[in-house]
Amino acid sequence: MKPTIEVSHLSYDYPGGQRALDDISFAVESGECVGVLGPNGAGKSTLLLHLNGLLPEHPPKEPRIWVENEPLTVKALDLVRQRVGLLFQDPDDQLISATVFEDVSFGPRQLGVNGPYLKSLVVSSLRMVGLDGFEDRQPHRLSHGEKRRVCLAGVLACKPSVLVLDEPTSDLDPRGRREIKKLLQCLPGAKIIATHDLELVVDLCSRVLLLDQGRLVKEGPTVPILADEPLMLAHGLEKPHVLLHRHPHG
Amino acid sequence: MLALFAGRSRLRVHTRMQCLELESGRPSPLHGISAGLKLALALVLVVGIALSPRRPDVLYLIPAMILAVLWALGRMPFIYIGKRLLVVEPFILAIAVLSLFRPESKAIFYAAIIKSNLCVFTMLLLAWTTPFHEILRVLRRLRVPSPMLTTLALMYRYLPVLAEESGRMQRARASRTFSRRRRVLWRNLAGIAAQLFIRTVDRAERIYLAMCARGWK
Repeated sequence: MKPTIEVSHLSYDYPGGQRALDDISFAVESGECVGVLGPNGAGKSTLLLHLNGLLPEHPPKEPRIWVENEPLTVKALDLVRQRVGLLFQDPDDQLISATVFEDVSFGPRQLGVNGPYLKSLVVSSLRMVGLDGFEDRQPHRLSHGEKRRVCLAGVLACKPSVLVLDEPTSDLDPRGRREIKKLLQCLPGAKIIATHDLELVVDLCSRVLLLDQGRLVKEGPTVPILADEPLMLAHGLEKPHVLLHRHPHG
Repeated sequence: MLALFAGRSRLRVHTRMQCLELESGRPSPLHGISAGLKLALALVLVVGIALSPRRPDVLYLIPAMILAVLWALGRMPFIYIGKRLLVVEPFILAIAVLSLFRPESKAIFYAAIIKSNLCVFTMLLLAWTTPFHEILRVLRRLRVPSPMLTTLALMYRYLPVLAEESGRMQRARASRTFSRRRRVLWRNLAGIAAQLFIRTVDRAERIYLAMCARGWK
Protein backbone atom coordinates (compact mmCIF):
# COMPACT_ATOMS: atom_id res chain seq x y z
CA MET A 1 0.00 0.00 0.00
CA LYS A 2 1.35 3.44 -0.93
CA PRO A 3 1.53 5.91 1.97
CA THR A 4 -0.86 8.85 2.03
CA ILE A 5 1.77 11.02 3.66
CA GLU A 6 5.49 10.39 3.61
CA VAL A 7 8.00 12.55 5.46
CA SER A 8 11.70 12.00 4.83
CA HIS A 9 14.55 13.58 6.82
CA LEU A 10 12.59 16.73 7.62
CA SER A 11 14.43 19.38 9.63
CA TYR A 12 13.45 22.94 10.43
CA ASP A 13 15.01 25.83 12.37
CA TYR A 14 13.00 28.70 13.83
CA PRO A 15 13.99 32.17 12.52
CA GLY A 16 16.06 32.68 15.71
CA GLY A 17 18.15 29.64 14.78
CA GLN A 18 16.68 27.27 17.36
CA ARG A 19 16.14 23.74 16.02
CA ALA A 20 12.41 22.91 15.88
CA LEU A 21 12.43 19.64 13.90
CA ASP A 22 15.44 17.40 13.59
CA ASP A 23 15.65 14.74 10.87
CA ILE A 24 12.08 13.47 11.11
CA SER A 25 10.96 10.57 8.90
CA PHE A 26 7.70 8.63 8.97
CA ALA A 27 4.84 7.52 6.74
CA VAL A 28 1.09 7.38 7.23
CA GLU A 29 -0.94 4.83 5.28
CA SER A 30 -4.35 5.47 3.79
CA GLY A 31 -7.11 5.21 6.42
CA GLU A 32 -4.61 5.05 9.26
CA CYS A 33 -4.99 7.15 12.42
CA VAL A 34 -1.67 8.27 13.90
CA GLY A 35 -1.15 10.16 17.16
CA VAL A 36 1.66 12.72 17.54
CA LEU A 37 2.71 12.97 21.18
CA GLY A 38 5.28 14.95 23.08
CA PRO A 39 5.70 17.59 25.78
CA ASN A 40 5.08 21.29 25.15
CA GLY A 41 7.62 22.66 22.69
CA ALA A 42 8.39 19.21 21.25
CA GLY A 43 7.60 20.42 17.72
CA LYS A 44 4.17 18.81 17.25
CA SER A 45 2.39 21.91 15.91
CA THR A 46 5.42 22.86 13.80
CA LEU A 47 5.34 19.40 12.21
CA LEU A 48 1.63 19.73 11.43
CA LEU A 49 2.19 23.13 9.80
CA HIS A 50 4.81 21.49 7.56
CA LEU A 51 2.35 18.79 6.45
CA ASN A 52 0.04 21.51 5.10
CA GLY A 53 2.87 23.43 3.43
CA LEU A 54 2.50 26.41 5.80
CA LEU A 55 6.09 25.99 6.97
CA PRO A 56 8.74 26.69 5.84
CA GLU A 57 7.63 29.96 4.27
CA HIS A 58 9.15 28.91 0.95
CA PRO A 59 9.02 25.14 0.34
CA PRO A 60 12.48 23.72 -0.40
CA LYS A 61 13.47 22.76 -3.95
CA GLU A 62 14.23 19.27 -2.77
CA PRO A 63 10.95 17.99 -1.27
CA ARG A 64 10.86 16.38 2.15
CA ILE A 65 7.12 15.64 2.24
CA TRP A 66 4.94 13.69 -0.20
CA VAL A 67 1.15 13.72 -0.07
CA GLU A 68 -0.38 10.87 -2.07
CA ASN A 69 2.91 10.67 -3.95
CA GLU A 70 2.78 14.37 -4.83
CA PRO A 71 6.00 16.06 -3.65
CA LEU A 72 5.32 19.18 -1.58
CA THR A 73 6.86 21.91 -3.74
CA VAL A 74 5.80 25.47 -4.55
CA LYS A 75 3.97 24.21 -7.63
CA ALA A 76 1.98 21.59 -5.73
CA LEU A 77 1.19 23.81 -2.73
CA ASP A 78 -2.48 24.43 -3.61
CA LEU A 79 -3.10 20.77 -4.35
CA VAL A 80 -1.44 19.67 -1.11
CA ARG A 81 -3.42 22.17 0.96
CA GLN A 82 -6.64 20.83 -0.52
CA ARG A 83 -5.62 17.22 0.20
CA VAL A 84 -4.42 17.91 3.75
CA GLY A 85 -7.15 19.42 5.93
CA LEU A 86 -5.65 21.15 8.96
CA LEU A 87 -7.66 21.84 12.12
CA PHE A 88 -6.02 24.51 14.29
CA GLN A 89 -5.82 24.41 18.07
CA ASP A 90 -7.77 27.63 18.73
CA PRO A 91 -11.08 27.68 16.84
CA ASP A 92 -11.13 31.49 17.03
CA ASP A 93 -8.08 31.52 14.75
CA GLN A 94 -9.88 29.43 12.18
CA LEU A 95 -13.40 30.89 12.27
CA ILE A 96 -12.98 34.06 10.27
CA SER A 97 -16.40 34.79 8.81
CA ALA A 98 -19.52 36.53 10.02
CA THR A 99 -21.74 33.43 9.79
CA VAL A 100 -21.24 29.68 9.96
CA PHE A 101 -22.30 29.30 6.31
CA GLU A 102 -19.75 31.86 5.15
CA ASP A 103 -17.04 30.17 7.16
CA VAL A 104 -17.68 26.61 6.02
CA SER A 105 -17.89 27.83 2.41
CA PHE A 106 -14.58 29.74 2.68
CA GLY A 107 -12.38 26.81 1.58
CA PRO A 108 -14.59 25.57 -1.28
CA ARG A 109 -14.88 29.16 -2.57
CA GLN A 110 -11.08 29.32 -2.80
CA LEU A 111 -11.30 26.16 -4.92
CA GLY A 112 -13.77 27.89 -7.26
CA VAL A 113 -16.93 26.16 -6.00
CA ASN A 114 -20.06 28.30 -6.19
CA GLY A 115 -23.83 28.22 -6.54
CA PRO A 116 -26.14 25.39 -5.48
CA TYR A 117 -23.28 22.87 -5.20
CA LEU A 118 -21.53 25.13 -2.67
CA LYS A 119 -24.72 25.32 -0.63
CA SER A 120 -25.23 21.55 -0.65
CA LEU A 121 -21.56 21.05 0.25
CA VAL A 122 -21.90 23.35 3.27
CA VAL A 123 -25.14 21.70 4.38
CA SER A 124 -23.67 18.19 4.07
CA SER A 125 -20.45 19.19 5.88
CA LEU A 126 -22.45 20.68 8.75
CA ARG A 127 -24.58 17.53 8.87
CA MET A 128 -21.42 15.41 9.13
CA VAL A 129 -20.39 17.26 12.27
CA GLY A 130 -23.91 17.21 13.71
CA LEU A 131 -24.67 20.92 13.25
CA ASP A 132 -27.70 20.87 10.93
CA GLY A 133 -29.37 24.24 10.67
CA PHE A 134 -26.42 26.23 12.03
CA GLU A 135 -25.82 28.04 8.70
CA ASP A 136 -26.95 31.48 9.83
CA ARG A 137 -25.48 31.32 13.33
CA GLN A 138 -22.69 33.71 14.24
CA PRO A 139 -19.37 32.14 15.34
CA HIS A 140 -18.99 34.33 18.44
CA ARG A 141 -22.34 33.07 19.72
CA LEU A 142 -21.30 29.39 19.63
CA SER A 143 -19.92 27.26 22.45
CA HIS A 144 -16.30 26.17 22.28
CA GLY A 145 -17.29 22.64 21.20
CA GLU A 146 -19.62 23.97 18.52
CA LYS A 147 -16.90 26.32 17.24
CA ARG A 148 -14.51 23.39 16.93
CA ARG A 149 -17.09 21.35 15.02
CA VAL A 150 -17.74 24.28 12.65
CA CYS A 151 -13.97 24.43 12.04
CA LEU A 152 -14.01 20.72 11.27
CA ALA A 153 -16.94 21.22 8.87
CA GLY A 154 -14.93 23.97 7.14
CA VAL A 155 -12.04 21.54 6.70
CA LEU A 156 -14.28 18.66 5.54
CA ALA A 157 -15.95 20.92 2.96
CA CYS A 158 -12.62 20.98 1.07
CA LYS A 159 -12.81 17.16 0.75
CA PRO A 160 -9.32 16.42 2.09
CA SER A 161 -7.84 12.93 1.95
CA VAL A 162 -5.88 13.42 5.21
CA LEU A 163 -7.10 15.18 8.35
CA VAL A 164 -4.42 16.82 10.46
CA LEU A 165 -5.72 17.86 13.87
CA ASP A 166 -3.89 20.01 16.39
CA GLU A 167 -5.18 19.38 19.93
CA PRO A 168 -8.78 18.66 18.84
CA THR A 169 -10.02 18.13 22.41
CA SER A 170 -8.20 20.90 24.28
CA ASP A 171 -10.46 23.24 26.32
CA LEU A 172 -13.46 20.95 25.83
CA ASP A 173 -15.70 19.66 28.62
CA PRO A 174 -16.19 15.86 28.86
CA ARG A 175 -19.30 15.98 26.68
CA GLY A 176 -17.51 18.06 24.03
CA ARG A 177 -14.58 15.62 24.14
CA ARG A 178 -16.91 12.67 23.72
CA GLU A 179 -18.65 14.30 20.78
CA ILE A 180 -15.41 15.15 18.99
CA LYS A 181 -14.05 11.63 19.63
CA LYS A 182 -17.23 10.02 18.24
CA LEU A 183 -17.09 12.32 15.25
CA LEU A 184 -13.45 11.52 14.48
CA GLN A 185 -14.17 7.79 14.75
CA CYS A 186 -16.80 8.14 12.02
CA LEU A 187 -14.72 10.21 9.60
CA PRO A 188 -13.06 8.31 6.75
CA GLY A 189 -9.50 8.84 5.51
CA ALA A 190 -6.12 9.09 7.19
CA LYS A 191 -5.87 11.15 10.38
CA ILE A 192 -2.89 12.63 12.18
CA ILE A 193 -3.72 13.89 15.67
CA ALA A 194 -1.31 15.95 17.78
CA THR A 195 -2.59 15.90 21.33
CA HIS A 196 -1.94 15.60 25.06
CA ASP A 197 -5.21 13.71 25.42
CA LEU A 198 -3.73 10.22 25.75
CA GLU A 199 -7.09 8.53 26.31
CA LEU A 200 -8.18 9.86 22.91
CA VAL A 201 -5.00 8.45 21.39
CA VAL A 202 -5.64 5.03 22.95
CA ASP A 203 -9.20 5.03 21.58
CA LEU A 204 -8.49 6.35 18.08
CA CYS A 205 -4.89 5.85 17.02
CA SER A 206 -3.35 2.57 15.96
CA ARG A 207 0.16 4.06 15.96
CA VAL A 208 1.95 6.96 17.65
CA LEU A 209 4.95 9.17 16.97
CA LEU A 210 6.68 10.42 20.11
CA LEU A 211 8.49 13.72 19.63
CA ASP A 212 10.80 15.50 22.05
CA GLN A 213 12.95 18.56 21.38
CA GLY A 214 12.18 18.28 17.67
CA ARG A 215 13.36 14.68 17.37
CA LEU A 216 11.27 11.59 16.69
CA VAL A 217 12.27 9.51 19.72
CA LYS A 218 9.90 6.59 19.28
CA GLU A 219 7.44 5.34 16.71
CA GLY A 220 5.18 2.29 16.87
CA PRO A 221 1.86 0.75 17.96
CA THR A 222 -0.03 2.87 20.47
CA VAL A 223 -0.52 0.62 23.49
CA PRO A 224 3.05 -0.65 23.98
CA ILE A 225 4.44 2.89 23.76
CA LEU A 226 1.85 4.50 26.01
CA ALA A 227 2.07 1.68 28.55
CA ASP A 228 5.85 2.12 28.84
CA GLU A 229 5.87 4.30 31.97
CA PRO A 230 9.62 5.09 32.11
CA LEU A 231 9.53 6.18 28.45
CA MET A 232 6.46 8.35 28.98
CA LEU A 233 7.90 10.00 32.12
CA ALA A 234 11.24 10.61 30.42
CA HIS A 235 9.47 12.66 27.75
CA GLY A 236 7.17 14.74 29.94
CA LEU A 237 4.10 12.50 29.57
CA GLU A 238 2.23 10.04 31.77
CA LYS A 239 0.91 6.57 31.28
CA PRO A 240 -2.84 7.06 30.61
CA HIS A 241 -5.33 5.84 33.23
CA VAL A 242 -6.86 3.28 30.89
CA LEU A 243 -3.47 1.55 30.63
CA LEU A 244 -2.42 1.85 34.28
CA HIS A 245 -2.60 -1.86 34.94
CA ARG A 246 -1.25 -2.98 31.62
CA HIS A 247 2.34 -4.03 31.05
CA PRO A 248 3.99 -2.54 27.92
CA HIS A 249 4.66 -5.98 26.46
CA GLY A 250 1.74 -7.88 27.87
CA MET B 1 -8.90 49.28 20.26
CA LEU B 2 -7.71 52.02 22.55
CA ALA B 3 -11.33 53.04 22.83
CA LEU B 4 -11.77 49.81 24.75
CA PHE B 5 -9.60 51.19 27.49
CA ALA B 6 -11.18 54.57 27.62
CA GLY B 7 -13.36 53.62 30.58
CA ARG B 8 -12.67 54.52 34.17
CA SER B 9 -10.76 52.30 36.53
CA ARG B 10 -13.72 50.10 37.37
CA LEU B 11 -14.20 47.07 35.21
CA ARG B 12 -17.01 47.49 32.79
CA VAL B 13 -16.29 44.57 30.53
CA HIS B 14 -19.89 43.59 30.10
CA THR B 15 -20.94 47.13 29.22
CA ARG B 16 -18.12 47.35 26.71
CA MET B 17 -19.18 44.09 25.13
CA GLN B 18 -22.64 45.59 24.68
CA CYS B 19 -21.14 48.74 23.15
CA LEU B 20 -19.25 46.58 20.67
CA GLU B 21 -22.40 44.72 19.71
CA LEU B 22 -22.74 45.22 15.99
CA GLU B 23 -25.86 43.19 15.58
CA SER B 24 -29.12 44.66 14.43
CA GLY B 25 -31.79 45.47 16.98
CA ARG B 26 -35.23 44.07 17.69
CA PRO B 27 -37.70 43.55 14.83
CA SER B 28 -39.35 46.60 13.27
CA PRO B 29 -40.96 47.42 9.90
CA LEU B 30 -37.51 48.42 8.58
CA HIS B 31 -35.98 45.05 9.47
CA GLY B 32 -38.18 43.31 6.88
CA ILE B 33 -36.90 45.39 3.95
CA SER B 34 -34.16 43.83 1.83
CA ALA B 35 -30.59 44.65 2.84
CA GLY B 36 -29.75 45.78 -0.70
CA LEU B 37 -32.53 48.39 -0.72
CA LYS B 38 -31.53 49.71 2.70
CA LEU B 39 -27.87 49.92 1.69
CA ALA B 40 -28.79 51.78 -1.52
CA LEU B 41 -31.03 54.21 0.39
CA ALA B 42 -28.29 54.81 2.97
CA LEU B 43 -25.73 55.53 0.25
CA VAL B 44 -28.12 57.94 -1.53
CA LEU B 45 -28.69 59.77 1.75
CA VAL B 46 -24.97 59.95 2.57
CA VAL B 47 -24.04 61.20 -0.93
CA GLY B 48 -26.96 63.69 -0.85
CA ILE B 49 -25.84 65.02 2.54
CA ALA B 50 -22.22 65.26 1.41
CA LEU B 51 -23.23 67.26 -1.68
CA SER B 52 -25.36 69.74 0.31
CA PRO B 53 -24.17 73.37 0.64
CA ARG B 54 -21.11 74.06 2.81
CA ARG B 55 -23.10 76.24 5.24
CA PRO B 56 -25.98 75.69 7.65
CA ASP B 57 -29.02 75.57 5.38
CA VAL B 58 -32.71 74.65 5.53
CA LEU B 59 -31.87 71.94 2.97
CA TYR B 60 -30.46 69.86 5.81
CA LEU B 61 -33.99 69.58 7.16
CA ILE B 62 -34.88 67.19 4.30
CA PRO B 63 -32.44 64.37 5.21
CA ALA B 64 -32.98 65.13 8.90
CA MET B 65 -36.74 64.62 8.55
CA ILE B 66 -36.29 61.46 6.48
CA LEU B 67 -33.94 60.10 9.13
CA ALA B 68 -36.33 61.07 11.92
CA VAL B 69 -39.16 59.12 10.25
CA LEU B 70 -36.87 56.10 9.66
CA TRP B 71 -35.66 56.34 13.26
CA ALA B 72 -39.23 56.08 14.50
CA LEU B 73 -40.02 53.22 12.11
CA GLY B 74 -36.82 51.37 13.06
CA ARG B 75 -37.53 51.68 16.81
CA MET B 76 -33.90 52.49 17.47
CA PRO B 77 -33.42 53.36 21.19
CA PHE B 78 -32.06 56.82 21.98
CA ILE B 79 -29.40 55.31 24.26
CA TYR B 80 -28.04 53.16 21.40
CA ILE B 81 -27.59 56.12 19.08
CA GLY B 82 -26.52 58.55 21.82
CA LYS B 83 -23.62 56.36 22.99
CA ARG B 84 -22.30 55.79 19.50
CA LEU B 85 -22.60 59.42 18.43
CA LEU B 86 -20.66 60.38 21.56
CA VAL B 87 -17.84 58.03 20.55
CA VAL B 88 -17.44 59.59 17.09
CA GLU B 89 -18.07 63.19 18.17
CA PRO B 90 -14.42 63.93 19.11
CA PHE B 91 -13.31 62.85 15.62
CA ILE B 92 -16.01 64.96 13.97
CA LEU B 93 -15.00 67.98 16.07
CA ALA B 94 -11.31 67.45 15.31
CA ILE B 95 -12.00 67.53 11.56
CA ALA B 96 -14.43 70.46 11.86
CA VAL B 97 -11.95 72.52 13.85
CA LEU B 98 -9.52 72.38 10.94
CA SER B 99 -12.04 74.28 8.81
CA LEU B 100 -11.80 77.24 11.23
CA PHE B 101 -8.48 78.13 9.58
CA ARG B 102 -10.18 78.72 6.20
CA PRO B 103 -12.19 81.68 4.83
CA GLU B 104 -15.92 81.51 5.73
CA SER B 105 -14.68 79.37 8.55
CA LYS B 106 -17.72 79.40 10.84
CA ALA B 107 -20.20 78.38 8.13
CA ILE B 108 -18.00 75.45 7.05
CA PHE B 109 -17.39 74.47 10.68
CA TYR B 110 -21.11 74.17 11.40
CA ALA B 111 -21.81 72.48 8.05
CA ALA B 112 -19.10 69.88 8.70
CA ILE B 113 -20.61 69.07 12.09
CA ILE B 114 -24.15 68.79 10.72
CA LYS B 115 -23.10 66.73 7.67
CA SER B 116 -20.93 64.32 9.65
CA ASN B 117 -23.57 63.72 12.30
CA LEU B 118 -26.28 63.11 9.72
CA CYS B 119 -24.03 60.65 7.83
CA VAL B 120 -23.08 58.78 11.00
CA PHE B 121 -26.74 58.70 12.04
CA THR B 122 -27.62 57.16 8.63
CA MET B 123 -25.01 54.44 9.03
CA LEU B 124 -26.09 53.70 12.60
CA LEU B 125 -29.67 53.33 11.41
CA LEU B 126 -28.49 50.93 8.69
CA ALA B 127 -26.48 48.94 11.26
CA TRP B 128 -29.46 48.82 13.63
CA THR B 129 -31.89 47.54 11.01
CA THR B 130 -29.61 45.22 8.98
CA PRO B 131 -27.47 42.30 10.20
CA PHE B 132 -23.85 42.89 9.26
CA HIS B 133 -23.48 39.61 7.38
CA GLU B 134 -26.40 40.63 5.12
CA ILE B 135 -24.62 43.89 4.28
CA LEU B 136 -21.52 41.84 3.42
CA ARG B 137 -23.63 39.54 1.23
CA VAL B 138 -25.00 42.52 -0.70
CA LEU B 139 -21.51 43.98 -1.10
CA ARG B 140 -20.26 40.64 -2.43
CA ARG B 141 -23.11 40.57 -4.97
CA LEU B 142 -22.12 44.10 -6.01
CA ARG B 143 -18.62 42.72 -6.67
CA VAL B 144 -16.89 44.91 -4.11
CA PRO B 145 -13.19 43.88 -4.15
CA SER B 146 -12.58 40.73 -2.13
CA PRO B 147 -9.73 42.13 0.08
CA MET B 148 -12.06 44.91 1.24
CA LEU B 149 -14.83 42.43 2.09
CA THR B 150 -12.40 40.13 3.88
CA THR B 151 -11.12 43.04 5.97
CA LEU B 152 -14.67 44.03 6.92
CA ALA B 153 -15.63 40.43 7.75
CA LEU B 154 -12.50 39.96 9.87
CA MET B 155 -13.15 43.19 11.74
CA TYR B 156 -16.71 42.12 12.52
CA ARG B 157 -15.63 38.64 13.52
CA TYR B 158 -12.72 39.59 15.77
CA LEU B 159 -14.10 42.62 17.64
CA PRO B 160 -15.89 40.43 20.21
CA VAL B 161 -12.83 38.13 20.46
CA LEU B 162 -10.54 41.09 21.23
CA ALA B 163 -13.06 42.58 23.64
CA GLU B 164 -13.25 39.29 25.52
CA GLU B 165 -9.48 39.01 25.59
CA SER B 166 -9.03 42.55 26.91
CA GLY B 167 -11.74 41.86 29.50
CA ARG B 168 -9.91 38.76 30.72
CA MET B 169 -6.62 40.65 30.92
CA GLN B 170 -8.23 43.51 32.85
CA ARG B 171 -9.77 41.08 35.33
CA ALA B 172 -6.42 39.34 35.80
CA ARG B 173 -4.67 42.69 36.35
CA ALA B 174 -7.37 43.91 38.72
CA SER B 175 -7.02 40.78 40.86
CA ARG B 176 -3.38 41.73 41.48
CA THR B 177 -3.82 45.50 41.73
CA PHE B 178 -3.95 46.59 45.35
CA SER B 179 -4.01 50.34 44.87
CA ARG B 180 -6.82 52.56 43.68
CA ARG B 181 -4.45 55.38 42.79
CA ARG B 182 -5.21 56.73 39.36
CA ARG B 183 -1.57 56.65 38.28
CA VAL B 184 -1.26 52.93 39.06
CA LEU B 185 -4.48 52.16 37.24
CA TRP B 186 -3.44 54.08 34.13
CA ARG B 187 -0.04 52.41 34.16
CA ASN B 188 -1.74 49.00 34.31
CA LEU B 189 -4.06 50.01 31.50
CA ALA B 190 -1.09 50.99 29.35
CA GLY B 191 0.46 47.56 30.01
CA ILE B 192 -2.75 45.84 28.98
CA ALA B 193 -2.94 47.90 25.77
CA ALA B 194 0.63 46.92 24.88
CA GLN B 195 0.00 43.25 25.66
CA LEU B 196 -3.20 43.24 23.66
CA PHE B 197 -1.38 44.74 20.70
CA ILE B 198 1.27 41.99 20.82
CA ARG B 199 -1.36 39.27 21.20
CA THR B 200 -3.31 40.75 18.29
CA VAL B 201 -0.24 40.54 16.07
CA ASP B 202 0.29 36.90 17.11
CA ARG B 203 -3.34 36.08 16.48
CA ALA B 204 -3.24 37.80 13.08
CA GLU B 205 -0.34 35.53 12.16
CA ARG B 206 -2.27 32.42 13.22
CA ILE B 207 -5.41 33.56 11.39
CA TYR B 208 -3.37 34.12 8.23
CA LEU B 209 -1.95 30.57 8.48
CA ALA B 210 -5.44 29.13 9.04
CA MET B 211 -6.69 31.00 5.96
CA CYS B 212 -3.76 29.75 3.87
CA ALA B 213 -4.49 26.19 5.05
CA ARG B 214 -7.89 26.51 3.39
CA GLY B 215 -6.52 27.73 0.09
CA TRP B 216 -6.43 31.51 0.63
CA LYS B 217 -4.12 33.27 -1.82
